[in-house]
Amino acid sequence: MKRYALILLFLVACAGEAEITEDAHVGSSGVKAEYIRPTEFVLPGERVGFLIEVSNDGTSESSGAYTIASDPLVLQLQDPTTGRFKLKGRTTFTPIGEKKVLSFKGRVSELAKREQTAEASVRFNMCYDYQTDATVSVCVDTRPEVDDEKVCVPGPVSAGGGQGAPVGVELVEMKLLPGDIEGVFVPRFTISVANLDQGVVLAQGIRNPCQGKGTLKEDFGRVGVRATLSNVPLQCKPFKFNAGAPGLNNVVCTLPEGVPDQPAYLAHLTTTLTYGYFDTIVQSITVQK
Amino acid sequence: MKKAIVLLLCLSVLIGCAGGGEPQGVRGGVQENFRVGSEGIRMFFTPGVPTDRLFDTEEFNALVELENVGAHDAGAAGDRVYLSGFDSRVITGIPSGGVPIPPLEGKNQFNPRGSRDTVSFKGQIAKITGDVVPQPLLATLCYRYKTEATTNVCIDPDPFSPGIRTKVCEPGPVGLGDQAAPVAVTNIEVEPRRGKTGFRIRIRNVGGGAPFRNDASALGRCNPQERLKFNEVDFVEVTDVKVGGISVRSSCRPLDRGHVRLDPTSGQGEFYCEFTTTGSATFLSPITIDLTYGYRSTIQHSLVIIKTDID
Repeated sequence: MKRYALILLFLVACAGEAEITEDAHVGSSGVKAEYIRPTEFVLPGERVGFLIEVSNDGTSESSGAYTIASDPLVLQLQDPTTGRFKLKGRTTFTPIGEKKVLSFKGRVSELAKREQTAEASVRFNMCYDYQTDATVSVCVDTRPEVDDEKVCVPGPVSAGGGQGAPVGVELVEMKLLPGDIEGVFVPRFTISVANLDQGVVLAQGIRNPCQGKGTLKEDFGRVGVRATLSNVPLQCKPFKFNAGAPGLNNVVCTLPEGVPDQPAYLAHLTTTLTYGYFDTIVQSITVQK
Repeated sequence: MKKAIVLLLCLSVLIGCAGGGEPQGVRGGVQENFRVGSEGIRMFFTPGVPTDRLFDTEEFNALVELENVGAHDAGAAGDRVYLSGFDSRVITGIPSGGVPIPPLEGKNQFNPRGSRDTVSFKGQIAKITGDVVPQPLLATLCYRYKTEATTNVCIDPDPFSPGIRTKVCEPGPVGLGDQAAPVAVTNIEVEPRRGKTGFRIRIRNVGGGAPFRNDASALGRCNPQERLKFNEVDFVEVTDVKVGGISVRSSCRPLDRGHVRLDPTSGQGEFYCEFTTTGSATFLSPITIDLTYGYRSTIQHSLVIIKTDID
């Protein structure tokens, strides 16, 4: 009897509704780092350790490099202070991305005779490649003058909130231009892109900020763009992200072969952005006698 | 004795609850007044076919149920159901020319409920690039239909004659109820004159859809892939008007190629016909108005396609 009750309990417990996040492409984070149980106050000469959890909170697989640095007069970090990571992102069926815990060691310097305290920042830098896949539904209506019942009304489509990456699509506007052939219309999309997180957008593969080297001007904001409408590739103009000009980061894409005249329907526009991203977290420590 | 009283009481209750025989309006098994309602063919998606969510690479199936609740038969050549509103690159294999409506008997004295049937659409869902892609469905029903409206009107051949006459009726406006069709005759104003009686007949679109010209080519253009012309929408053909069995159709005006135009906002239209009278005695006469038209109605269904990660 007890055996059957246990089996029943097990079945009932397991029968609860499993929650599947159908659209995983939400949020504005990529790879995030966080100090675990951060050390704020240390003693002179103390050996200290830092634990940092690096997690992929977005939806793209990401590979990158990291480095940890501090003021060597206050804290001397032991090698290795650099490394690489590769983390998978979230999917519809795997709602949590991969994580990795990194540990670093160091030694606090002795204070000068007259000094009672000293402060230093421990900076953890990450340089990683990422990809944004943004899909929005756009209403294609080649007959705006017809007053029949339609499944949708054309207009700007807001995609705010992010698509599971630090760079996201904010707004999509479409215009249908007359094609060369009668009865064919060429859609032109203006896709507004924004940096939704706290880091800096770089070209893919750039690791200079994490290696203590200077970064060339042309490597800032260089974003690769691909777009499809209903699985058909679009032609997109080259795009460079300008952090100093919010609201003006627009990608323009067209479908040169056009769409035929037909009743209004919802098409899906997928924009893929590929870029590098630089982000940093800082932990302050205070050395007290 | 007590048992007898109880039995008598039970019998009284049974007789009281048994009702007075046939339902109201039914005599000898025949439904006398079946011309009620303001719809022709009713249409709806069969629940669950399709469901609200489908995975990409799955088969697509949609079942549309049709119920003829009007008083005219439907399902003739040219009567079709179309499916649109979706991206044909996502849901493939759906015929753009629609599917024919099966024969659907309308309501009559012996069949007061009309008839119903289904049409199906089969296709395939292609792989999608986004996680979740909405694909709303729009079913469009295009069919020819008829309205037959009958009522009695009072005719006074000599309304302004001097002296006192005994009249069996007084000419005046006549309101009509619905006629089991999506376009109804709502009102007839009788305008008596010496030697002629005029009838101002008002009609209205009451079915929730859109009437269009009774014309094979217009019926074909009802397909959402085509376009109905501006001079085809909101037109109803006046097939015949009879007073006392005599056709007065040739006197009806203003008609555009035999059709009366409905106001697109109010759905109302009117036309004027004349009946030549003789004598001087007033009399009641039946008036019958036959209208023929194409009719289009639509319904929507929300559908979402979900991406599977399986390649």
